[in-house]
Amino acid sequence: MRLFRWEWRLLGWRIIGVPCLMIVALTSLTLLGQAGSSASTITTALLTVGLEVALPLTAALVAATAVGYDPAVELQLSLPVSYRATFFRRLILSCVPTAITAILMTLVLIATGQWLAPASGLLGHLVWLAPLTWLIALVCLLTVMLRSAVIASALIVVLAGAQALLYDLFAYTVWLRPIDLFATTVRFAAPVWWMNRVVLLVLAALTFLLTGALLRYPARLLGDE
Amino acid sequence: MSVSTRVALLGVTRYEFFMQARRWIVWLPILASAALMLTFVSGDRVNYYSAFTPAETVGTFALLFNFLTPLACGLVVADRLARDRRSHVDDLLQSLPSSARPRIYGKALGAGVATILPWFLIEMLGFSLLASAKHNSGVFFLGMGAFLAINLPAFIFTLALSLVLPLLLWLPLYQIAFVAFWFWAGLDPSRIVSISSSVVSPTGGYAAAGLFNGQGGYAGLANALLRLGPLAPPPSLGSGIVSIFIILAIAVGVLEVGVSFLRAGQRQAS
Repeated sequence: MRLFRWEWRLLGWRIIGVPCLMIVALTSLTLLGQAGSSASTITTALLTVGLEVALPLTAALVAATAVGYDPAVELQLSLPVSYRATFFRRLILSCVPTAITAILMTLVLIATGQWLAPASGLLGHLVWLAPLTWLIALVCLLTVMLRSAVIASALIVVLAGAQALLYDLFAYTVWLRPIDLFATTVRFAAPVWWMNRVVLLVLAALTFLLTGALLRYPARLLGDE
Repeated sequence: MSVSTRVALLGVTRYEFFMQARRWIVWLPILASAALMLTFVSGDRVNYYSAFTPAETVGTFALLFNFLTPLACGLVVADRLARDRRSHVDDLLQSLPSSARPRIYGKALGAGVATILPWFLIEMLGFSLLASAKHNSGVFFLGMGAFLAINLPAFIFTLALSLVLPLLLWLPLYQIAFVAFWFWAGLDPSRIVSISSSVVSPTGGYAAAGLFNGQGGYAGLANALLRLGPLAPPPSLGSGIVSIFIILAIAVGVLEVGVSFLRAGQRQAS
């Protein structure tokens, strides 16, 4: 627990600011959409996209910075504590503020009747949990593989942007549906939605395993890109 | 420009260009985001352009890139200046006789050319596909003009923002703000209040519609929720050129903020 406290101090309170900024951006967009004739549809769609993709993307960008650069990595590698444990500790901590924000937003969306997902209750949190886990797993793997948090972040944004731009392609191509980040927003049928969430979680687990395996090789960690 | 400033600018530009052009991983996000647009001119989708004139074709296709590729370019250069500080090269560079301006502009030029190179190559491939589909080689050459008028200003805008603002903001904070801004600036203004129908929008809608009569942008949209008046005139050659100059002026303004920031740092150090 003491190690978690130290890591929290290293990350600083600023990591709370990032999901807060995203919530401000989403609220502003929602307010800007109020002037139109189909305001309620736009509000629901925007908030769902926010919960499903924007907040997970926020977590991924913070996670990439949190795990991507450590000026004392040589020292870390010489300690009896495994660097892998430190890596994942930082990752978990960096996601906490975004996860809390997402939980609150889920409760608000359910309470206000703007809920589009076919699941509710605890399982309703899969709306954000599955994409969040998948995106942070992918960004960690890319950061370790490419040794650059900035490039990993850019690739993640391109992935999310590509799915937004080609949403019809992802929604109507059978083999792309399981990895569609916008499954709730485009309103997949319940069985497809459940399959999509499970596939994202399984992919995330496999990606974490691969990242863990790569972290066993100190040569991958020494030196910036 | 004095001789020493010119030499410094050339030196920084050359160094930045080669340093970045040799890092193949930097090419990945740009190639991915640009190659995505080729899906719009492959298979049956190329038929969408069959009724368009060559100018409309290149304007419409070039505008597509501005939805995502400038974003990828901005994100990959976001740590260029901030990285100098992290690796403590900053202190060394501040001790050199060269001033802050060649450092910022040299970085922008060098990193900019290295970043836009993969984008340019992919877009030219797209124009050659369109040229062969329309049996008109003019599409390819007109495409170069569309790249310069529509894509280059948007790219310079994101480059300036991404070089300077991470000096003032924590990187993930900047990344989120930048991504949110870019998507907002490209949204349909008839559904959400946005600047996408105005000449100040960096997404290149006016250049596409005014200079090439390209489709897909929102320049001067009549049913925009927010009436922007003189800021959203009907697209024409003049308003297209004005829009390009406004975007470039904002970019230069942002770079000048960066110059002042570096100078303030130098004064503090001395």
